[in-house]
Amino acid sequence: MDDERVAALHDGRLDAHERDELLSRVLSDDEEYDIFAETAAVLREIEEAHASSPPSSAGADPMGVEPAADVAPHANIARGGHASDDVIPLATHRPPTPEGAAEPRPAEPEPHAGSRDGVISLDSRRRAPRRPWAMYGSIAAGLVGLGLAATLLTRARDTRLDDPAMAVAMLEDGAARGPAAGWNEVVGSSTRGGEANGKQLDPEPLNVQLGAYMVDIELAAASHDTSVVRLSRTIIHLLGQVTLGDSAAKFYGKVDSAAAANPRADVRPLLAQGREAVRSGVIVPEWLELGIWAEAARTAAARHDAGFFRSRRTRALLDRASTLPEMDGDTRAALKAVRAAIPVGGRSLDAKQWDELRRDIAGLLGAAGKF
Amino acid sequence: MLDRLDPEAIFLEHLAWIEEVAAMVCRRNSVWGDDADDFLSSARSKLMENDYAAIRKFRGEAVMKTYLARVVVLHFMERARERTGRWRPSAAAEAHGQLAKDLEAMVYRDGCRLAEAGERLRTAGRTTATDAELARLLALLPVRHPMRPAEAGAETLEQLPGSRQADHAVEEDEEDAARARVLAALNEALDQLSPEDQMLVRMHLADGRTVADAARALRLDQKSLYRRLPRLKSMLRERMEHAGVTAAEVRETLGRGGTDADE
Repeated sequence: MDDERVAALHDGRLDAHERDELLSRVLSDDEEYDIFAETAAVLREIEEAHASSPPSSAGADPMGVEPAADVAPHANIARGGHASDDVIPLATHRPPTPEGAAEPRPAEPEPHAGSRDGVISLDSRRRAPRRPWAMYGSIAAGLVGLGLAATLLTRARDTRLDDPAMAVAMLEDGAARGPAAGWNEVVGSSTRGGEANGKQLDPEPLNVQLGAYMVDIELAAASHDTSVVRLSRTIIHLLGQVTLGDSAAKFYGKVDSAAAANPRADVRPLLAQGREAVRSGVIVPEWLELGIWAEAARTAAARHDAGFFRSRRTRALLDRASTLPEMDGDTRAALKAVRAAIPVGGRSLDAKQWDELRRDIAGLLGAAGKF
Repeated sequence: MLDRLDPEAIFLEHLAWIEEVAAMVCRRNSVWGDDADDFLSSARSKLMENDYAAIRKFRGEAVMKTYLARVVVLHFMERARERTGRWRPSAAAEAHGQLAKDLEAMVYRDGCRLAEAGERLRTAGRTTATDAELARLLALLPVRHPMRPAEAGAETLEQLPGSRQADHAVEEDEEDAARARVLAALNEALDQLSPEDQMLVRMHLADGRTVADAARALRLDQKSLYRRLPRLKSMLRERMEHAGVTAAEVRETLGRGGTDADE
């Protein structure tokens, strides 16, 4: 495999035909696939780290350079310069790519690779893909929801909700509409939406609160709501009570600084890193995802968003939550009330029922999170 | 080709990037300390060998940094395969995050005892968790066998049962036939997808890689994938059913001995 062609694939610099051909080749070779996937993961992590770093000067690119898509690959070389201007384009510099479409290529098309010395030209014949049984097994099992131990993990991963960004994406219009009216109302205690009062929480309510605030901050950040600063500080406080919370807290600290300095700052890349760090650090995520779901569900109820409640993830989450052994009686009763009130199947709710559902979910949050 | 340029200057100019990629690939694969330093040194040497041949080969079709990242990751994977065989974190470790992957690799790949692994992880600043917390985490992961086979004496081998009884052979042949049918249907369903969709299925559904990684690998908008992936899954399922392979058949083929948890 020609390393530079694969690098160009990562950079979105191949035309659709070349891209498909190379992807087919990568898919047909397990070792090549591993390298391809790992390189993508390494690039993503580094890009996110750079995106979250404070710029070296006002308005400058976090990496101090132009996005690669705007750089003619040979421009620097031709003028005798160095290749240092050829940089990893940050995701934040590129507009979202339409689904299924290749990224725009540099203005001047590259000569075909096959015409260059030392270039391994692509085989126009498509190789028969070699797909190992393990891969088939994972896909097939995922398709039918098989109950084997290994595939249970696949299913659990498929329906888990430990990522607040996923919960927000499940909302109709996602974060585009910002926080729902009354989203930061007090639920059972003055700690809600404000500075935490310093008391040490048990792990279960701690994770519920953390999940709820992580959803809040995602919604607030999307609409540049000034509550981002306050929410980030509350999250940092909660993370201070989590054994593995230090690494996550540092990202929310950066969110705090960035949003305090400039309320219009786009803190979403930092939030992405914070989310990942929280997911890595929370050993028992069931309560975190309950908090995430409940807060997103409260927003969905305020928006009368039936699709959120009919989703597979909601059903799976509620099933998992109802079997949590550590759940106390109040929380279990609140969960039962929510399950009874959500719209399922073809059932629709009127305005009053939506309002009741929103209150039921707030009750669940209050009971599970000890707000 | 960059023959006319000074490849050494390019190497030095990108040295910080090379080191960043090397550190990241080590971190992602739970390699650190002296081992990570060794790899960094090896990656530098790899790029310098034969008068910077890898850099001189660069034609300018990709971004230099992406190309160097590819070369460094490739070197890491080749080196890891030579040393320990092919190692991948379990799906459970992936689901529980980086600490779980580190712990799993140290215990099951490197053969560390739990206390030793805990000490190394804490010393490296990877965690502040106690041994008890790490034990709880380890208990969530499947037991795995060493990558390299341990030596077994003749006595041990003699005590092993025969590999197949005659009646088992017939059953296995039947299972193989059923499995081949499921495979053929799935293969056909996958073949109808574009290479991009096949890659999405492979990365996310088969390997459990994150949506963010799949989006980066293919230069796609991450958010759109949250809707696209379920559609792909549903499409595959429909195509398999259209080909006459039912969910029950897949379950039967794959799930012998398992319990049904289908919806």
